[in-house]
Amino acid sequence: MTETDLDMLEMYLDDALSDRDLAEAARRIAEEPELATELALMRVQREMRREYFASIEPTEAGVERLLGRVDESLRRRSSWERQIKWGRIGIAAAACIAIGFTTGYVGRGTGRTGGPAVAQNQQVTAPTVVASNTDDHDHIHFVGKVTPQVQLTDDNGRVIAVQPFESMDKANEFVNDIQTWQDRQRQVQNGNVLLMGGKF
Amino acid sequence: MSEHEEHKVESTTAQLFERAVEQHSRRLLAIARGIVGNRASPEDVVQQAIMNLYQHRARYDWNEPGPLLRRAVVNEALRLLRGPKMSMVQDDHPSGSSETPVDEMVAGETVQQVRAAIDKLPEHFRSALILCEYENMSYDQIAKTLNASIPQVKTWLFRGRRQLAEMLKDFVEGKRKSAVR
Repeated sequence: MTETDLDMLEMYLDDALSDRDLAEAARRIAEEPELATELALMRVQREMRREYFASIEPTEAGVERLLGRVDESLRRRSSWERQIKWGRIGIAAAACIAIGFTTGYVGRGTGRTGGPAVAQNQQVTAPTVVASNTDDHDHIHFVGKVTPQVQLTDDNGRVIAVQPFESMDKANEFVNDIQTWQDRQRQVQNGNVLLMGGKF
Repeated sequence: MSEHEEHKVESTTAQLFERAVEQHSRRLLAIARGIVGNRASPEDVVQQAIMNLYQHRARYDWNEPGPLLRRAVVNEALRLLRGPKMSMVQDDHPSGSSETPVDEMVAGETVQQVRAAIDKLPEHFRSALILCEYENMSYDQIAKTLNASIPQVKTWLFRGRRQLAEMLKDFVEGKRKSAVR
């Protein structure tokens, strides 16, 4: 018995032969007793395996148990997927808010640190020095087109002094000096700096 | 696709998926047991395979779920067998449905002998044999399930059967002699 013959017999039992090969196999099995004996033996072996395969069929309880476990897992997975879906929406919303805040923070107005506002086209119609009871002269404005003038204002925006200058450079210099002085004053007030001396 | 249509498709997929699992779970458990033997729980294998499919359920056609489920279970079983060695699990299925205690004993012995022999086969031989003789799949279907070529499948089947015949030779001979008496 050759391997080719055995292979042919297995394929015969598997119903995997073409019509032509099937007819040839049937003819040989009928004519060659050795092939017929081997085929019978193969059938016995297959029957034994069939018994084994029947034995691995699960019990009803086993199937029910599996379905229960799968059902439970699916429910957990679905719930998890829903949570992830809503979580994503929440994260997206939080990200939008964070971006908005960051953009606002980065692009916020320069305020006091930006220096005095220059209003070249404004004219002071009645430059009056107003006495102020506060030392915090935060608000300084350039006014005047022909003659540059610096307006000093208090916290409430009231003009407390107007200083004319010959040129824009002089006015700027004055403003810078005022700001330096204000910054130093603040540092002294906060107690962060021990002032040994200064040029004011 | 609108949200309504998407929901409808999802709902249909879920229904088809549930039906497929219910219809095929018995056969899938048997395939898993046949491949992993007592080395892992078939329920764990099938459950994991089903959950793997569920994760990507939208990709598959659930109108024809049999081959898909079988492939998933076979792959999961083989993956488990390639992993670290597992402890044995308890056998929890009846050994047969013989009519008399003697028949049952003989059948039980046959099953034990065949099981012991099949367990000794290389995993791919065993998988191909189960798909061919238990699931009655064609060589082509087995090749697709095991991600192999048809000649490879034919070789696995041929060698597996030859090895089994050799391992069970004495037992078969004894059975034949007792049948003649």
